[in-house]
Amino acid sequence: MTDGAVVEVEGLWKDYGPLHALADVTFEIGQGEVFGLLGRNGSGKTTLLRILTGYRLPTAGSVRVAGMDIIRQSLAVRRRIGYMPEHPQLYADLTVRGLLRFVGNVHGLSRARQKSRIEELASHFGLGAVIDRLAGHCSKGYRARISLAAAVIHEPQVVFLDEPTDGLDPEQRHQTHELVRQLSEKSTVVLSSHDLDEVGALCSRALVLDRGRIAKLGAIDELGGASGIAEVFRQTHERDKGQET
Amino acid sequence: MRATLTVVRKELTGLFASPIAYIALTAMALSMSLFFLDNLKAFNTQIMLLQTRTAFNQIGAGMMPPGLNLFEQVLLPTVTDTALVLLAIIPLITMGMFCEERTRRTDELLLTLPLSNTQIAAGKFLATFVFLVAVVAIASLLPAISAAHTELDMGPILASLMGLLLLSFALASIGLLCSALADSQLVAALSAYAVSMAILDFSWMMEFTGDTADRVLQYLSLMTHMGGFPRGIISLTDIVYFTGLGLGGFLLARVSLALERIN
Repeated sequence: MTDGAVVEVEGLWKDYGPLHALADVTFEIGQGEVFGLLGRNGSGKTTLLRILTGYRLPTAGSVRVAGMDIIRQSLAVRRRIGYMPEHPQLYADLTVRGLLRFVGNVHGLSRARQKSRIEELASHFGLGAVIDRLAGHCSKGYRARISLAAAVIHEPQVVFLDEPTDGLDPEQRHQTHELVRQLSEKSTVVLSSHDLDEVGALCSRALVLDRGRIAKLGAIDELGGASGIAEVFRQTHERDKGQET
Repeated sequence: MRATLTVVRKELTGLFASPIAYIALTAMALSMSLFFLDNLKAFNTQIMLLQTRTAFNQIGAGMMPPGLNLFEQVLLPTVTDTALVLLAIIPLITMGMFCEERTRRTDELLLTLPLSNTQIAAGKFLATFVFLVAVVAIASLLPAISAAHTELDMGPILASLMGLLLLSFALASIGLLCSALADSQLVAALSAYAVSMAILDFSWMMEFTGDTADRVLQYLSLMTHMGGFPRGIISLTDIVYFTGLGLGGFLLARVSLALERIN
């Protein structure tokens, strides 16, 4: 493993019954990188993120995040990461402020620190108008930003974002891209997306998953930018179509 | 500890934001009042009969039949009826605790926070128990008001309240376990009712079993362990039974949370 790697994955497998959702996945992500996870639906992106965040356990292989083992030191890893799930669902009975306080409290932030961070995030993510509204009742765009704010309230070392712009309008997508750029100044960001242009514009390196296996891994330039990655997608699509017929 | 208390606070906020908490508290207050008034009415009828018989010199003035007093005729049956009300409302309180997290997909947020499975399960369990303490406190209002107006032996009443708290502890853990295992809240509530009713009283099975099995079944029945408290008897066996049931359910709920991460 390389010095300075924040995420180290080696020989990772995840099985759901007879199905290999992830098969022998090995890669590393360096400190301060914005790393893209790409793949078609069902390629294993979300499963990979769920394992990296401790939500699910791997079937085999080793995963280290922030220098710690995801199974043996799961709590310590979860203290150092932030996670924005795909289609974030928030507690319907907590206000946005209540939700951010809850997450801040779990992360052990002092009352004063929580207050200042909530004010900072509300202004940074444009949550002022909804801060005392019930989080679960906010619009999709707001829910995405609230979830992102909750993921970074404790200033984590690594932030995992699962399709953060899915379902957002162009303006909201643009705002989210700006937030990701700002996040990357302080944290390592792992971004899962369908959107090749998004990954091309935001990420320095990317991994393309195909049926749970690594199809391509490297710097965006090495992969040929968005068009090069699109070619990988086209090839896997053609292959799947051929197998169906 | 701080993380667990944070979960307790979140769960209580959620509980009091839902109508179920208010329905449960209202149901307890209403049913307790109805049981109390009904028992009081029956007691008054017996007193009136006694006065009539005294007037016709069938019994001597001032002679009170044994067992005919406010404590045994009104308060104890009311406190005992509370156990049945608890049995009815606890599955409604616990059904959403784990299940709702999964159906609303908020579990992804909760399980990726730095909270151990024990802290999550303990937080949910403690929040349920704190709420049930409030429910039992409502049940204790009528004995408290009665005690302020007449001379009562408080020992059996306090023991009964302790019994109700222990019963709540055990039933809450059964409800939480069902919520941790079920896919829907309805299934969680129904399975909690089924388990609670099944262990309520095994005496009907004793007709078909031998002596040793009888003793085991009798020990396993909830009713066996509720009987002593209204008489003011606090037995270690009963305390061990209820806390054992409570902790067993809690541990299994915690295990099911750990298994969820493997799937």
